[in-house]
Formats: sequence, C-alpha cells, structure tokens
Amino acid sequence: MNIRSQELTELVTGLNKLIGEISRLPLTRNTSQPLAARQGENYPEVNENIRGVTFDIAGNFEIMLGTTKSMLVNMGLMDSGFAKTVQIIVQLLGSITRGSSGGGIFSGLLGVIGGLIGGPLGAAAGTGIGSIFGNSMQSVNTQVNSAAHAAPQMINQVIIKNPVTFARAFDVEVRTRSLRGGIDL
Amino acid sequence: MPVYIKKYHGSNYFSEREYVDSIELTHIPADGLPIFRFETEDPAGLGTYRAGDFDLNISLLQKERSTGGKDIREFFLGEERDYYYLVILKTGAQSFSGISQQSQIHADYTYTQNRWFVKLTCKDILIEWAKRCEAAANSTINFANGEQLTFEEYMIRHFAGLTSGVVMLGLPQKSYLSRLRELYSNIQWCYALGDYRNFITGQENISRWETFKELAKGLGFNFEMYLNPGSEFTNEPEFVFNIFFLSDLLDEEPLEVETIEISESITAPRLEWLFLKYRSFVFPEAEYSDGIFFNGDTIYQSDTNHGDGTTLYPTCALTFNGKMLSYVNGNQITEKSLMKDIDYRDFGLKLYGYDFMTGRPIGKLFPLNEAQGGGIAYSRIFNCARVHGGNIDFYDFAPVQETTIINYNRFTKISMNVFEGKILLNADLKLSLWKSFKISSETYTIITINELSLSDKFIECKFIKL
Repeated sequence: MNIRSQELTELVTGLNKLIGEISRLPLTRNTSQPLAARQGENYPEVNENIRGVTFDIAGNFEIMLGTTKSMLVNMGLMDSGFAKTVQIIVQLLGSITRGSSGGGIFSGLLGVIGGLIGGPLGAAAGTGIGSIFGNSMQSVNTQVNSAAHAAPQMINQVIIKNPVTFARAFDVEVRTRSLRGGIDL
Repeated sequence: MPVYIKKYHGSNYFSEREYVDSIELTHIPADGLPIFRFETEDPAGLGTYRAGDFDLNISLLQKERSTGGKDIREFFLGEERDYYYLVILKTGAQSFSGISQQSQIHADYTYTQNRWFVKLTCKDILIEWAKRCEAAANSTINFANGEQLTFEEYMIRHFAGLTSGVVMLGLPQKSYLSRLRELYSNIQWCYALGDYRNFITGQENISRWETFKELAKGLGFNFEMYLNPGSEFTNEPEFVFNIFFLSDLLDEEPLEVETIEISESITAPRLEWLFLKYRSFVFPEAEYSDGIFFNGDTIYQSDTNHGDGTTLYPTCALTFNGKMLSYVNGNQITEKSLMKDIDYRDFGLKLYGYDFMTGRPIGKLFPLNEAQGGGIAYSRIFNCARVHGGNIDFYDFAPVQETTIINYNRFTKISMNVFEGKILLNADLKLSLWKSFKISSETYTIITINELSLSDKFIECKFIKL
C-alpha cells in the first residue's frame, strides 16, 4: 500500500493545526517571563491551563484518529486497519522530530492517548507524541513545515483519502443516482 | 459473478451489428456496480413503462484477455472508437443485460489513489429494443383489409421484420380468447381486424413501439426482455421479448426468499376511480365516450351505440370542458358523476384520428355523422363477437375492457401500497423484475430493483402484492 503525498500533506496540515494550538499554551511564557496577574484579574494556575489544553489536544487526536479510522472503513482497507493508522501517525511524528528523545511536559499526553486508544497502540502513540514535544515549539513547527513539503517518507502504508473530497464524491454519487431514475420507454 | 461483454460495430444491436470481439470477466470489483437500477413502471403512473441502467466498474489491473487477445484497456479504449458493447451480468440463475455505447465509457488512468479503472454506463437492453421498434413506422405492418388475426397472431405480425434473428417473442401460455372467456363464456371470437387498424390515419408517422405501448395499455398486458439463457456464450446472444398478464404471475411457483428489511413505500395519492377511454365522439353538448370507469368493486361501462348509428346510450359523457365524467344509462338517465383529478384519473390512452370514408361496413365503430371530432385507441382494433339471448353481437368490446381492469385495479385508491425491501441474494435465486416471491403466505412481484450489492449479497427492490 502507498501513502500519497497529497494525503500526507493533509495529515501533516492537521498536525500543524494541532501544534498551532499547542503553541498557544501558557507554557511558552515559562521560557520568557513568569505569568503575572494584572490587578483585579484572576489568572488560573499554570498547571490548570496546561491540563485543559492537554485534554483539548487529546480530543483533537481522538477526532483525527476516529476520522482516519472511518475513512479506512469506507475505503475497505480495514485489513490493515487501525493499528496501521496509529503507526502512520507515530512514524510521521517521529519523522518530524527526527528521533528526538522523549520527555518534557507533553509527555503527559502519554497517559491520555494511551487511555483513548488503549493497550500497546496507545502506548506507541503516546511515546511518539511525547518524543515530539520534548523539543521547543519553534523547532517543531519549522520541521513540520519542512516535512509537509518534503517527499513522502512513508510508503507501503495505508491510503488516507481527503475526507472533504470523499464527502463530496459521495454527494455527487447520491445526486447522480437519484437523477438517474428509471428511463421512460 | 461472470460478466460477458461483446463488442460490435454498428448502431443498434437489433438492426445493425458486426461482431468484433468479446471478453469474459470472472469477477468485478466489490464496488463494481455503483449504480444499478432497473424499473418496470412508475408506481404512481398509470400505463408508464420504464427501463433502467447500471454502471459497471472494471479495474484495468484485471488480467482477463479478450478472445481476440486484447487486454482490458485495449478492448475498450483502443485507437479506433467506433464500437458499442453488449454487457451481460450473470448472478446466480439470473441475468441483467445492457448496451454501452463507446461514448458511455469513462476511464481513469490515474494509477495512484486506487483508480485505474474503466466505467461503462449500460442502458437496459429493453431500451435498445424500443429504439429499434421506434425506428419503424406502424404503416410498415402488413395488415390488409379483411384480415382477422388473433391476439397471438397479431403480436407476431406487429414485430415481424424487426427481430434481426435475435429476438424471440414470448406469449402467455393462456390464449387471449380463453382469458376473455373466463369473464364471458359466450364469446365466439376475438380478432384484430385489418379494416379497423387501417382506418387510423397518419400511420406512416406513428412508430411501431408507440402503438405497441398503446396496445399494452388498452389491453392490460405487460412486457419484459431478458437473455435467452445459454446464448451468452455465442457471439450474438438472443433475447426473449416476453408479453404477459400480471394475473398470470399468480400461476407461477413463487420464489422462497429471505428478507433483510421490509417497509411500505410512499406513493403519489391515488384517486378512487380510473377512467379508460377507447373512443371519443365530440358533440357541441358533450364528448361521448366508448370507455369504462371503475374502482375496486364497481364498473360503469359504455356501449356507445347499438350499431344503428343513432343510439348513443349507455355512454360515458364528458362535460364541463372535459372535467365532469358522467355515466348515462340506456334510458338516458345520469347514474353517476365524477370530477376529474378529484374523483377519478384519466388513464390517458392515446386517441388517434380515423377516416371511415372507405364505406366498408364497420358496425359500432362508425361515427355518428354529426360528430365534430374524436379519436380511437389503437387497442380498439380488437373486437369480440358475443351471443346475447340467441343473437350474436359482432361488435362487442366490453370483455376486452374488463380484462384490462384486472391489470389496473392496483392503481385505485383501495389497492395495496408499494413495498420496499432488501432480499438476500443467493447463488440459485432467480430474482429479477416481475418475479413473484412469497412472504408469509402472501405473493409479491418485483417492480423495481434499486441496488444489487455483490459484496453484501442482497438486492434492494420495490414490490407489489399480487
């Protein structure tokens, strides 16, 4: 099975968006200046912010993985299935970080993703993600961008179709079918 | 699921075909039939006849080769493009056939993204046959004045010269005369009369297909076309054009099927009464009709005149600009009045112009001299002779009208709805259009197939209770 450059781009774009969300974390402020409350305002604790965003990230991943799974089901490729899907994401993320070591505060995702997916798959996903976010955010973004424009690094994997295109194709099919009712003799 | 595809030069399978090549596919992709729709009629439309079509996807990676040694791409998309294809799908004991012109073939050469396929849009073989018959004028039917043909003889005559050696006409086992005699045992004969046919004007501009459909409506029979089993292996497969009456389906052994889903379908509103008009005489005060109107249990039937050229009653009379239908009995008393599109629907038999200037004796068909217009249904070329009280009536059309009602009662208000369902497809099941099957001791027949799923092994269809 091949993974197509367009499909890879879609996946990477999705990840970029996700990482974009991550980049808005208060975490970035840790490296520059401490969080300071203006007079009369109540800021939440840093850890609370991170926890909330972490759950957002986990939710995004859940949606993404779920979408990918449903696409695969539609494409009749479930023989390679969910495990392949997760493997792709893990490999993709691994390729983005170029083998950076795990750790950092985003390794907290380990448990979340692991919980979502369950079992070794979850652990694998968590490990990959934890590895990525061990580096600084700017570095990750730069490499994701370069990965999005690079030639696909994974081949012989599952095929992921653009969900938008897939939905449109389905609509057209339905319309065509209804228009092509019986033919008068 | 074997697929037999024959390639020809020419324009129409039933008139011009020059065999070029053929290919047999032992299988097709799981999504090989993205569109599959075969219909027989509009469930809400009286006297509508419909056919269907299907799309067939074939992967260019399939390894089959034609008898001429071509691979799939070369077979469909070679440099020369002046071909058409006969496609026969066989699943279990049933077959579906269609014609695909070269312009109806679409190919995607994108090797990536799971493409690399050829798609053929195939029109029901019945459409091809209808086109053939549409190209022949009714005036080319050799039917001389003075000739009398039974129903069976006339049908063969109607299609004489069009079959091109590959169409076999199927006729009901029960003769038409015996069908009429089940209603009226005193019928002496029933013939199509050459004189009656030849009174219709402008037949050089009317097609044989149109008049055949008018016969089907007016006499109340149906038709279908299917492959003559076994001929799919030849270069020129044969087809059976079968004429049948819906009531005969009850005599067949119904199939035993396994239903996955079943539901009742919504149809257009049905009115209580239907009106079939076989002849029309237009007078200043009304349009008098030789016709019949009926609901589930009541029939009003005209006799128009008694052959004396003057008596109009009993009759179906139309007034109020053709919207008010009344039954006026033999004593000129109006027994029943109905309003069009509220109480009744007009069946819509086409009434052709006619000319009786030949002076031949034609009894009840003779229009009253003072009539200002009117017309005659093509099915009125048939006529019965019946004995009444020791006297023979040579111009009796009533049994024909009543036989027709049997077919169209299902379009009245009280008739049973249309059902939809999914039926499991197994290898031995001969489940096609107009096949009867049994569910819980009731017999149904299929009027539409909406989907044929090879991967999930079911047919999605519409059916009616017999």
